[in-house]
Amino acid sequence: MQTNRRDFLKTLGGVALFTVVPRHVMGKGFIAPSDQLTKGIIGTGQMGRGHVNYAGTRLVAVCDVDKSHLELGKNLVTDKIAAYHDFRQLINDPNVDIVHIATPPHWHGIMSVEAAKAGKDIWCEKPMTRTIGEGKRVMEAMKQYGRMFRLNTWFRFEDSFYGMNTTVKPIKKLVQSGLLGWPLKVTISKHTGFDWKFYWVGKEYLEPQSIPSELDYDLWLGPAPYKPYNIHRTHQTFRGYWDYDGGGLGDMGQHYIDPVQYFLGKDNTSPIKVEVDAPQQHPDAVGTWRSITFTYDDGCQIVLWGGDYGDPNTPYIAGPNGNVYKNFVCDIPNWEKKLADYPEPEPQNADFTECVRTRQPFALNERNAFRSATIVNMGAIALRLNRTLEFDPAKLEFVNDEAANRLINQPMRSPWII
Amino acid sequence: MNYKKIFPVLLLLLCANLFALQAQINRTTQTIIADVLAQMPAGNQADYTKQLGDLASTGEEGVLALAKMLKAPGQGSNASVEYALSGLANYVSGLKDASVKQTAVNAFQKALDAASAPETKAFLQDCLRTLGIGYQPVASASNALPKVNKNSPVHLRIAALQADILKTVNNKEKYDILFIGTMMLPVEKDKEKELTAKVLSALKDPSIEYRNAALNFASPFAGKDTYVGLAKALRKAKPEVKTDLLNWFGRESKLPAKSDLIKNLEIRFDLPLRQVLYDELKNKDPEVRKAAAWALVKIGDSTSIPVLASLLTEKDNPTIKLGKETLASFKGDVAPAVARIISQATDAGKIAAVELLAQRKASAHINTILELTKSGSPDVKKAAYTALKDVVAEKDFTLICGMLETADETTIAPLQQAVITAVSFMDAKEKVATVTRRMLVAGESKKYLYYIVLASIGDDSVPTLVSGFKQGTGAAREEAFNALLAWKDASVADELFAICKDASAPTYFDRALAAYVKLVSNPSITGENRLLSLRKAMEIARTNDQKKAILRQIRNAGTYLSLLYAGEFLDNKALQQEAASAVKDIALNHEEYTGANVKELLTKAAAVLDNPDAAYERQSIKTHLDKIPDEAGFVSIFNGKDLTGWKGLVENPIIRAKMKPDQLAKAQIKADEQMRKDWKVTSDGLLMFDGSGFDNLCTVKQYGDFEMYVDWLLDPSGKEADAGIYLRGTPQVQIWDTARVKAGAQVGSGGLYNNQINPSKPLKVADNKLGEWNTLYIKMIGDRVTVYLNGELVTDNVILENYWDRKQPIFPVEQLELQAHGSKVYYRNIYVKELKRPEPFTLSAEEKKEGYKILFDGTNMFEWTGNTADYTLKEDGTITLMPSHGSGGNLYTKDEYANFSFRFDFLLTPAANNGVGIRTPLEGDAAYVGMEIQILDYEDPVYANITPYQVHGSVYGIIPAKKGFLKPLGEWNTEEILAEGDHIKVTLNGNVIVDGNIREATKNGTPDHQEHPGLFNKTGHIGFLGHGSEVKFRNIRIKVLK
Repeated sequence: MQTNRRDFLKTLGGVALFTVVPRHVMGKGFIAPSDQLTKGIIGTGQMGRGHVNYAGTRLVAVCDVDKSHLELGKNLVTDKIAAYHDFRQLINDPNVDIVHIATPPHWHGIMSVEAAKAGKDIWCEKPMTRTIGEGKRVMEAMKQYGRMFRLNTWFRFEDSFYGMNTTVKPIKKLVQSGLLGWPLKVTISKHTGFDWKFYWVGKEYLEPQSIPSELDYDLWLGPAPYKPYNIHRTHQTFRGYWDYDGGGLGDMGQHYIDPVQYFLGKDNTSPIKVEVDAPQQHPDAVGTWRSITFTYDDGCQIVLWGGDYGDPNTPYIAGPNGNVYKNFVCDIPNWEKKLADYPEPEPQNADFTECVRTRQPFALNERNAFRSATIVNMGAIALRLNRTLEFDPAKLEFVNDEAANRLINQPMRSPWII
Repeated sequence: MNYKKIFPVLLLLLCANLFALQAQINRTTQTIIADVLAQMPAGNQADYTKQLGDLASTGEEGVLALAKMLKAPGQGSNASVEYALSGLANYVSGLKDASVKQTAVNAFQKALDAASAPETKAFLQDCLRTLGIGYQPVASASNALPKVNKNSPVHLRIAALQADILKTVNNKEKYDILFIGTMMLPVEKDKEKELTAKVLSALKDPSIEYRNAALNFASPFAGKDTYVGLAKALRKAKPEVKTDLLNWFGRESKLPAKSDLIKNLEIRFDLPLRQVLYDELKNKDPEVRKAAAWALVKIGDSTSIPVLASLLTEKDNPTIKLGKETLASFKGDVAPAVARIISQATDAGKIAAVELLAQRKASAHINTILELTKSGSPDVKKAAYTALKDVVAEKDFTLICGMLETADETTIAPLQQAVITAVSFMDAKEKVATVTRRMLVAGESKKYLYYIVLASIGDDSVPTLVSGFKQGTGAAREEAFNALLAWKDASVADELFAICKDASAPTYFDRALAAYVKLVSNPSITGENRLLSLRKAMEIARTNDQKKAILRQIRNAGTYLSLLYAGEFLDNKALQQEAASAVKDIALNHEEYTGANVKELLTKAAAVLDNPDAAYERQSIKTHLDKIPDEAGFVSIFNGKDLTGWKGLVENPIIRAKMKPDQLAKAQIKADEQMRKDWKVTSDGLLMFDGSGFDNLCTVKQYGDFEMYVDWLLDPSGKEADAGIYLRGTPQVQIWDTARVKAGAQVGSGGLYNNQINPSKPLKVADNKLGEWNTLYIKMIGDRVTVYLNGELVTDNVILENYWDRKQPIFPVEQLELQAHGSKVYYRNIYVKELKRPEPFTLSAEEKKEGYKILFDGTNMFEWTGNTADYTLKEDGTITLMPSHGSGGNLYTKDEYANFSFRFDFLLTPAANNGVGIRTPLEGDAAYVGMEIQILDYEDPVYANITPYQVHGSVYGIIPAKKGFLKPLGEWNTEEILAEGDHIKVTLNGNVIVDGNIREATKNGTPDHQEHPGLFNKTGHIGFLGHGSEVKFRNIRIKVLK
């Protein structure tokens, strides 16, 4: 019987220490390799290779369906590590504690669920999943298997926040205080310091090309519908196709929207309405858009403006009693003084390896990440159908729109299921 | 078009449904498909609804016809058909009407049966799935419990436990809420007991994963009994289990449905949950203490504040830190409790408490803080001084000033910060006066303490600081300098630059330069001005780090000249990385920056880039290079070394044209001699006029349409600084010293100074200070000139009049000239981009013989008057009415014509509406005060119901025209209007569509029953009558008939 490596360590307890060099011999602060958590990376393209640098864990396995990417992955560390073609092999590798998923989004759901089944904890690239249904399934799986999940965006806790030039914490404090009033309207646009990266658009026509010998295109597509190969579908440009992602919205959406969801206090709910103003979308190639507006039941709004669209003087956060502009400029006089009685936002669990050890949820886990991914996916569905949609945040389905609901759980190519 | 004509159009729009129906009856399916395909993808929702609504009305026929157009992969693009069909499926899927949906489903199914290529089938299946046919979701197997991974004992056990719990609470039907919801799933009392028992037994497990999975899984079912049971267990549990439970209680209390229940939970009648947590605050295990304290924060009962505050009186630092962090996050007024314990706390506890009071801006407790400034412990004292700025109020101003003036060196800075806060609460008008008064009280020797306070206010105290810097010594000078550095806006930039250049203040150079660079790089300043200031900084920068910082800001300036300037550093090993990324980012963000020099710099940048992402950057540079069109782009016309490409000025273009070649050649030799006396190239590569006369420097080359950049600087030493740029040999884009109010120079530079009819003044003053560099951008299309000065639009598409002979238009091609006006002036960065333009229209030999005269040849609108702004001359050599400029307006010939043959070409946009007014005055509605020959895209469905004498070519309201001779949209039409007495003949694309007599046509009254008082005018202007649609005209000529 195979056994999970960490269970093994724990079961043996102190005994394990004697099978390796005792820690005190190695000097203070040294963590014996066998004590350190390990990770395996699925998808060793540019983004995936970056995951080797996330501290606190040791890379022991890589996986990619492109042989040239796999070769680059193998060379990320000087040690000899396992290299797999099929992600299921990596997921079932007993040496791997944490599975890093850095594939295109159409794989995130299946891989997360499979990794959870195999007893792994998960560090997943954004967007969490490309459908609402897959996100829901990931959430279930984490609970069913008692796993820890971390979405790979940093703006909710530590990174300085694009156009705001600060971490999200002081914004959270200001918003929580109610000083700006309620409801709030948050505008994420070029004018407030955000770039929707419209260069991630697809091409409406792709000449079929022969599949490069190093690429297993069938496994790259996986659950996505079969379409003839063209290099533009894959690797660095896949974001331009609805089958795999959702363009700049898919790429940056969760980065930009998740912190907003956090400071608006909407981690347990979803907007009830999404409206779009956009050119008609091609069924395969993602295009651009002018605006996408999400409205919550209390009237709070998240507004996305694409490209140069909209009023350049618009605030990032607009409230009945005051506004916050780019670079965290608040127009309420002496607002810092007025925040005197308000507490600092509670610290968040922002160390994933610590969460893995203590089994406390990570700050951006499968539940709140599902909600911010759902905002992105609601936007994508409204864009594709080119109409206003209403949403039920408890039932997680659109109201009176069957076609929109059919995009919640999209078909998967056989034999893949989630 | 006139207002009376608006009515039927409006009516049509108002009754859109009715007429759309009418239009569809008139249009065949083929026409509708062609129209829809031409307009796919729809640009907005209104068009989308219109186009796909039209398509839906074609029913099965439309879908089948479109599906037939789908080509197999590799056979070419299906884009517009895919937009139309997927758009149709999406559109119909949102309709309420079931019959429309059913029609579409049937049609797509038929199309699917007929399709052969698998990819075509797949696409049609997608469309059908949108409509609900063949849709089988694969995701969400949420109705079954998981298949477990048999390799993992813990997961086997977790799954078993979950199944067990679910069996206990029998709530399987609410499975979805269990996984996604944040609400409770209340269970019956006895079931809850069972649940509690199961969780309690799970908590005995050694596996932390198992314990936490059990707690998480139980959450939705947990009610009061569960919480009581688990809280009791908590008291007796092992430390690691206590931690799990305390964290769990914290998380549970954050759930909206649970928070009150947990806040008010009593284990027994005399034992609330929070008492259990208070006890755990004393636990030996720090992890337990931590979990308990944070659970209290999450529960948020304000009675816990004093308990957490007591942690600050503990001896060990981790506990003090825990107290501080939890109180910082505690909702409610923590200051009184914190202030109360200060006296009992250790130094570390005191510091934490002071920092908390500062964080909460606890002005009510300023005395507590003031007391601690006298503490024996240097650390406590420092923390107290630092906290003052957060707790002072306006009323404390005098007190804090007193402390500042008697302070020792270590406490000056925090006290200054406290004064700044106190001042910030004052009335804006009082701030400077209050501080200035206090400076008098403080006296000469102490007034410098307030410089930094003045800087925080801003306003007009720069001179105080500058004189403080110049006259001060020691600490006073340092304070003045720091105050200048702290100044909020760019108004001190020049002072900082002066300090950089001041050789007597070398120790200030690095800081002053860094501050200068920061100030002049502010994004609110135009990119052009940022570059000008940054170049100044670059010229005096000393270290590579300084130069790198400047290059990074030049990258952000983003202008074309920034790109070129950054490119100058690509060969400098120490700076080339910054230079390369500037070149790359500017070029890639500005597709309009084309040309050979941009390509060359990008290629060079790609070669030198060296960073972890360089491979990707090179790739994106390559992609960008492939997109840059193959054109010369901006070309430097001044080489920085000599006057190659330039010549002296001989007379004006009209006289030159009349001179004989040898006469001109002789004069040119003399003029070139004069040029060499007046115009010099300085050792640092600037072009300088240093003469006293008026001999302009001229390009050897002649230019038609072009864009140009030129930097200029007026030397402040001479009197009446003045210069200019002559465009096509004609004065001029004005350059002058704005201080010359007598000459009218306060309006600024960049205007077309010699215009008499068209605007001659710039739109705003955008000049930099006299003696500083300025950047001009000039664009000239035909007779139109646009000028940006230092990045600000100052001349907006204005006609340049011919100064040398006002009876003729501007020359189509001529030389560019830098004006000499007796005063010293410098130029640099002279770049010109020649713009392609169509050959000017010329008459055919036949028309020439017949005596036609050109009214518009594509290069100027000299023969025209009226709204020459909305009717603009475009790069394509047309007069284009731009609807974005407003509702339109009219454009008239300057001259009047009685009997004539008027020939022109026109290009329509969908539903375009215009008209040719003839024999009309310049005022009034030409259709009535003169006569209007209609111009109309009458085939557009919105015009389905117009009368015959409203169609294209008709004498409006009087004589109908024959239909059917307009070219398809997008093609040019040619037309001739012949007016000879009462006889009007209109020929469209070679077909006579009107040939009638206006007197005969109205012998029984006007057909439209309107008054046409100007119908029988003998003569008048010819005009284009706008109605907000975009229409283009070209090749306009006229022959006057006797």
